Amino acid sequence: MSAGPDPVPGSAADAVPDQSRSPLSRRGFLTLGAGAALAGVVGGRVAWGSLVTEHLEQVAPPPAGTGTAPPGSSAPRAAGRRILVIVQMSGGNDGLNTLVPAGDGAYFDARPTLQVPEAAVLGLRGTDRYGFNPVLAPLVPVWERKELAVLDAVGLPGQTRSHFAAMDAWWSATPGQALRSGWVGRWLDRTGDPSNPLRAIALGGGSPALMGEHSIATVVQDPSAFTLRTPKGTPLAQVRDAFLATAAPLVADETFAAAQSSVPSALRAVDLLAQAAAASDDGGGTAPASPKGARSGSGATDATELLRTAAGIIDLDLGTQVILVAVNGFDTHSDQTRRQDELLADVATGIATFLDLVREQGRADDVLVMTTSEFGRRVHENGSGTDHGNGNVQLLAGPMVAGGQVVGAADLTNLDAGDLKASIDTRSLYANALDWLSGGDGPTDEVLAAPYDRLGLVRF
Amino acid sequence: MDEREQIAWLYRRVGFGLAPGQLDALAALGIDRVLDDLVGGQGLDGGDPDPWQGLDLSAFDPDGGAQNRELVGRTVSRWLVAMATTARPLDEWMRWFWHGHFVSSIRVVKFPQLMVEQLRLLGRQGLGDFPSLLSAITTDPAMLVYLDGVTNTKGAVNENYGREVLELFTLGIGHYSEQDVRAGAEALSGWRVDRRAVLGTSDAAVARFEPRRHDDAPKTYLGVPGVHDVATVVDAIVHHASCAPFITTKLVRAILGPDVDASLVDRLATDFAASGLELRPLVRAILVAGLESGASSPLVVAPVPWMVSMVRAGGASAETVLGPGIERSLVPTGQVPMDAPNVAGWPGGRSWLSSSSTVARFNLATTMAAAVPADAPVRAAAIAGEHRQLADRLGRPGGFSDATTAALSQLRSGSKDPKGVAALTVAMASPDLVIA
Repeated sequence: MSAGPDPVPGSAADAVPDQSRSPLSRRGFLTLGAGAALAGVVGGRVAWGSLVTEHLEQVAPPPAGTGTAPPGSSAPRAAGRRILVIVQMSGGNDGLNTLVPAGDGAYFDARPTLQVPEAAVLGLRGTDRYGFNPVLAPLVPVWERKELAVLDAVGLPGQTRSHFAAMDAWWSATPGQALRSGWVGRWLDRTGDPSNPLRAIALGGGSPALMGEHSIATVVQDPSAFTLRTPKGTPLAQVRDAFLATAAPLVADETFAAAQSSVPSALRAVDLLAQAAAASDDGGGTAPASPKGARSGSGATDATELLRTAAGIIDLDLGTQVILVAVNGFDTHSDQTRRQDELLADVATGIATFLDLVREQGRADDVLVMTTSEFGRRVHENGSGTDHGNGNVQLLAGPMVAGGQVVGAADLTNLDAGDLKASIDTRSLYANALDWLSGGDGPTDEVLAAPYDRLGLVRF
Repeated sequence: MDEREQIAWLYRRVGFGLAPGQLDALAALGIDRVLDDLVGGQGLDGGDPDPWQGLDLSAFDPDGGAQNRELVGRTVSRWLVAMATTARPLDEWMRWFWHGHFVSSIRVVKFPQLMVEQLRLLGRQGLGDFPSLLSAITTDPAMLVYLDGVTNTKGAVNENYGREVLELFTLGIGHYSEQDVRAGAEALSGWRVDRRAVLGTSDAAVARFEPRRHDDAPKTYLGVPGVHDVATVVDAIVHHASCAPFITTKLVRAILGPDVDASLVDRLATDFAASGLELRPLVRAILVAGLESGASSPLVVAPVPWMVSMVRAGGASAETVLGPGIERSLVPTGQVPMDAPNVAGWPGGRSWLSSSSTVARFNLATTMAAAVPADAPVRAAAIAGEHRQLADRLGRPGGFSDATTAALSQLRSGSKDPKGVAALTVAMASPDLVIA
């Protein structure tokens, strides 16, 4: 299924986009994103529903016409334009076939058919033990520039093999407790205007990681479709205003009120994106490269396309501080080599392309890219794939990263029920990201509820 | 609730809405008869039209030809049209419910033929007994592909289905061990899907059991000794103390809303277990409880049932409005049938209130409002500015909220709307219509 914003057949003539109200469609990044289908808010089932409940209840509809609040108002000034980009690899990426421990015979023993052949492993300057899966070739120059650090065996205590319990733990960063807010959302709560829906933007699917107690995140399904259309001959402004008017006065019922409150939030996000696009049309700027064909339907996972869109959003300078790119499909119980290679190649190309684009925009030093994945996979293969495991490889990229090094080490000879033991707490990775986002002195320890080892992964 | 509101509630919750004039006709029958008719029947089999009847999928290219996307679109469209036109709304709604529970995705399954067969299964058995449904879905070809049953063999055990059948389909996390996951996967090993049979070049069964690929050693599973095959796995699961409450809770939340009294769920689950997990009496009991004031809470309608109910209420030709290509219009809402984001299905509830879904809902409302025929009752009410009547004809006999009523009045005083399209757009997109 394609992801185009096609109107319903048979009534196409009655529902045309109102170009005067959608300057976004003139922008390169939006056409780039045309095929970037984004699964609504994807999340952890019941827990996610209750989280959104709280979130929406606490956010009053913002007054119409309110502009973008200054980002990071309580953070150091120098950090104000920094953007954290999280590539969320859902399904549980197999770290062992990402960063290959080619210097360890136990790896080849555990993966008789799924191993990356020793001769194919891409060597990495500075380490004899590890190399890259060859599909990560686009990241080798980033490693050479010392802008890429790889963390081996990242995980949380009490890591579970359930996708959904594991995702809740990674999102909340409070394993063992019910998911109430996300680690990014709690940082947003403490560092700026919680009612600005563009401080955090999810592309490719929402993530509870962005949900604070107060903060709004915007989930954009398809940037080119993120504008209002009205039937031909019907004045958009009046219909839009009437739609907005359905939000007040609020009905006493909480669910109904939440539905009402979603209207001004959505319209505000539409307006802010449109204003920013219009402004940046006047000012020029670096439009990301040529449009790319659409692939797929909801939940589509073309990471490269989404990361190009992310670069476009950064170029618009909307005060966005966190962009989450959701990539699905890493749950490779079978046919792993083909499926994982395709996904990793896409992620690697996407990250390398993204870093190139922001450098062209003069924003290279303002971005930090990190990956997450709810767990790694079982050390021993199941024949054509791998089942759920623990202890996974994560990437950290950007000019501010202490790059060119592998941090942590998985021990393939000391397993826990067939799984790698984590050597780095996930929250150490998070702490580096939040410290950097705050400019070195922020509410990181409060957000993560404890001080975690920083491991010196990022410069400020 | 008076009877008219009760009937509208039933059709909002489990019926994909009401067609023009239908509420009047049903109200004349009375609520008892309406409930009996809704819950009666024998499942979607034989006597009822099959949504995919005559749909030619032979052009499907297993190697991924360009025409496949169009075939998938037609498959989805057929189902949406069936939802909007069915004479058996509860059976169709149950098929939709189970599709979001026993998830399989065309993205992984690839073959629309297999997705159609799975949906037929869910239509036939969606209101039958849960053990039979679970047994059938466990060896359903689309499920065998989606959760890797086809690569689960003796000596190379694949845990995917073995884990999710417990975590997501029957018991819930915390009611089984990692050893149970493993033992279940071993006991279910040995099934394959015959590609030639799928493509129609062989008359063999599509799902095939191969004893030499099966680990038949007896295992202890969920505390039950001697488990070794599909029948014994299903038997152990359905007799587990958590199974009836898990299924009951999921159905109750889907029908009555998220805020339901725990004691009601306990009572319903106890009766469900005592019945041998018969679904029809369970669903009837849930609906009866919902008709009693206080038992149901407002819930957010997902994009697909919202859209279908708007098409139904508008009275336009479903084949036209929901024709092939409609699946692309649904993408921005976050919900496309046969394309759930992961094995847990669509997250649902208030996740449908995201910015993306809200904008997409507005845009779909504009196209559906424009498609309403000139002589349709909803259009007449919109043109006349009869807000109360408009609400009734959109399945809300209790009227709109003060906010939406004021919004419609504001629209009426501020702009010319000779065809009522603006008013219909705002009404269909309004929060009132997103809440059931």
